[in-house]
Amino acid sequence: MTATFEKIASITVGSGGSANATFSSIPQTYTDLKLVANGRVSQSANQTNPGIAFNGSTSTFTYGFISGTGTGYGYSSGSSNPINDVNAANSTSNLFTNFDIYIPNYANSSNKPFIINSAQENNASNAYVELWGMLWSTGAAITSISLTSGSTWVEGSTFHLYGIKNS
Amino acid sequence: MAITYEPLGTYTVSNENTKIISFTSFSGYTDLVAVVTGGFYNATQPSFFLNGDSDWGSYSSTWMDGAGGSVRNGRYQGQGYGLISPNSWNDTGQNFGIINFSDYASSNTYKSIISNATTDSGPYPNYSVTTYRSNSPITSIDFRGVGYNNWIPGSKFTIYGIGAA
Repeated sequence: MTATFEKIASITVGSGGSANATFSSIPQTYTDLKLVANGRVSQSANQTNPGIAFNGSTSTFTYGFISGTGTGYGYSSGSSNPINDVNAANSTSNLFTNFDIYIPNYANSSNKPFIINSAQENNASNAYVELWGMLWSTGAAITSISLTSGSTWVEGSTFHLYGIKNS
Repeated sequence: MAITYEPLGTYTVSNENTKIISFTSFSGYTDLVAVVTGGFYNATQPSFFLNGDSDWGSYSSTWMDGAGGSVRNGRYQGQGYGLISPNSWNDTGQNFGIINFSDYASSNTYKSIISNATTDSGPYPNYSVTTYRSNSPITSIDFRGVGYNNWIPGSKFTIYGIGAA
């Protein structure tokens, strides 16, 4: 029987890290995509916001997100391509941020709304739980997804891309 | 091999006079997931009701979102629907929600439904949790706008069944 929730590809970052996590040549045979990640970056900070690109493009993204830190909460929005906060070099060792990205109808020619859920923990006063709503206003099928670290994704970061079929 | 994430039905609106989209026949799974994209000709909040029950008093929802430059939260009690989003969906079609119906087939518990959604405007991400005060298994799900407005053509609805094994 045809699998309807199927892994397309996985990336596990090895020694030395990797600047980007890129899924290319995404099959156009699914209905939705889900990217599940567990990542940490090397930037000298507690947390930072990587970027996202579709089909190599970082333009026409808009975002809005709500976050809670344990000491505060807020909403922010903008017209660029950051994604959720992830653990960086100054956060508690061995902690990686768990986040998932759901993109419905990725293969059609309409603009693409999508959602990111994330949990960035830290054994300190601040950590970030976030919900992002994003829109890619380029009416094109998504054939590649790249998560750009801004520094490097550290060894042990993992990214799994799943295709979901509605029939 | 048994499929553990199985599409049970999908519907794309083609008629501009469509107000309610209905799904039935969910037996044999543990949880359900619905994926909804689209919007309304006259913006309204997307919602659902269960088992044909639009009885005011059966549903309550608690939500939080980012809209208007700040985090907001709210609660509705004694309603005739559950929320997909507390924010209105417009007619661009660039609105999206995932709704989780956990343990939908239970016959001895009330039902909790969690929705994550985002709107075109903003974008405004939001969480909603709905309690359906019924011990009956969920056997039908109807999607509609709170204002019973027409869904725009191209609005798309899919239900998936999730098996525990």
